[in-house]
Amino acid sequence: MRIFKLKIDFVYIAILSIFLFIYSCFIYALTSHNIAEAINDMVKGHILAKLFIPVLIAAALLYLVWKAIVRHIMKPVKKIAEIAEEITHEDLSARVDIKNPNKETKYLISAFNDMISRLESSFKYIVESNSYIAHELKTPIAIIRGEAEIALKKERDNEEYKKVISIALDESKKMLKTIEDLLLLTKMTYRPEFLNFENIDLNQFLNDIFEQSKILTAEKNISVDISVPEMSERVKADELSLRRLFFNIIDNAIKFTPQNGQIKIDVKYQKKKAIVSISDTGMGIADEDIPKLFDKFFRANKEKNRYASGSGLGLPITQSIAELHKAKIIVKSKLGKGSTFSVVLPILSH
Amino acid sequence: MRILLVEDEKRMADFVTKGLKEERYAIDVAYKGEDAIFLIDVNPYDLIILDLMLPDTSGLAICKHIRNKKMDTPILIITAKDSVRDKVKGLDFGADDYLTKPFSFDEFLARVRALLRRKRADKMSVFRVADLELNQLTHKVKRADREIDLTSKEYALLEYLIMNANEVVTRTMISEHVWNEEFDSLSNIIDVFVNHLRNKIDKDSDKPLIHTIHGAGYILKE
Repeated sequence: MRIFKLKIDFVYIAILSIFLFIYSCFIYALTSHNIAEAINDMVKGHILAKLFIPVLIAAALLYLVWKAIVRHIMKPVKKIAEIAEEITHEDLSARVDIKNPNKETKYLISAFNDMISRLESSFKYIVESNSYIAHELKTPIAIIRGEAEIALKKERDNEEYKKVISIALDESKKMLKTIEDLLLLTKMTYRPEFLNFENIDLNQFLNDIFEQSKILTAEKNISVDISVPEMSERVKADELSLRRLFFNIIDNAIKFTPQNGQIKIDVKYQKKKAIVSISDTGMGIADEDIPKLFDKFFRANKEKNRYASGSGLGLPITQSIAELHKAKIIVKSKLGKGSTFSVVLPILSH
Repeated sequence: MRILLVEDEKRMADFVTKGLKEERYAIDVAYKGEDAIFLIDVNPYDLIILDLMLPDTSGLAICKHIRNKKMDTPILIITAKDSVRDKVKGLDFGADDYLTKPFSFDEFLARVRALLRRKRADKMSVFRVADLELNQLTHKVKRADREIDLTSKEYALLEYLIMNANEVVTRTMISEHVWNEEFDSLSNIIDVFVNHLRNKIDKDSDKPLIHTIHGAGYILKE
């Protein structure tokens, strides 16, 4: 390998020498008084004998200088290659750091580092989702397994068996809900084109939601009111998802509002936006917990999120739907007094 | 043997309690860290089973609380967190064992038994005093090779007496290790159960094993 490389060096130097020699001849011919004599000199080979050694030395020097320049330019590239070799799926923390790079190299380095950062955050997301999914699915499995193992330890009466079976059924439903919610969340993040956007009349849409909430709140004897402006506005939305967004908020409101409480749906239209506020007289949310409400991993990583419903993914899904509709959700809450979730949606111009 | 279970998932706590009760242990359940710390401070538990994720504090904080108070009660962590880092952390915070959910209930019971006998020198599951024999694995009790049928509470009481054989155990000690929080300290329930036990164990024998120490409590000895 080494010899082969040396051979390549000589080939380069030889080619360079030939070029230099031709160039020298050219200059010699141009600068001489008598071109015919000069050509004669060349043909006879006098000039070759005179110039052979200097040309060779010049070619070798030129080659060395050129090689040094290339090495200097390639240094950051070599460094990037080294860092790239270091990076594995387990450790994506390495970054290229070169002092005083030139403009082009700087661009290359920052593009490379940005790519690694994006990969790192994607991997982190995957690892976190995995541990979240594992945790959310392990508890129901632990319950089903434990109940079944204990039930089988000795003979029991039918009532006890029935209880175990109904717990198993209930827990398996929970697992399914977790999986479905996770798939929906992933679909909204990576394949939002499944949404079907149409023009929707907001007054009519919200009145439908109001009518259906009455059925949901009846069990806890919670009263629901709605106030909508006379003139309706239209929004561009995927109706099913938008319904899901509002029902997720209303479900949460019902869940955290005690018997005989109140839920209010208040609609306001401004120049370019509609503000739909859903207020309850529930337990409220601590200030420090509000920013964490929509965090998918809140429940799994720190403490359990008391405000999350079912799979704990209700509010993250609500947030994703809002983002896909260019809407914002603003949460205001007072502990013990209640919470207000305001959805700000862009409206269509007339 | 009295056990505290700290677990916020109601259904999880339900079946663990049920399974442990059937093994004749006395169980208290705390659904919150705050309740757990209160119970730990007032009762001398023989084992604490701890979930790591609680609504108010972390299980690790409870572990730390127990060890800071220089209590050497064995701690068994049961959790869905299964990374090596979490296990190392749990054990380093003073837990004695770590079991990940979902677990086999038989393995869980075996670990409970192992932790409960950790302080004893012999580490056996069968206790013998004279011709009386108690097997912790099968829950069978024999006197002179004749099997004796005991209720759960009677068994738990005899287990406690035999584990402390040749030592005086006070009524308070019995109430704290054999009964759970529902125990009514004003009743004479301990004396009633000791009498039941005597009837079953000592009645047919000319050498009684359970003795009353007036003003102190009871002792099981030859």
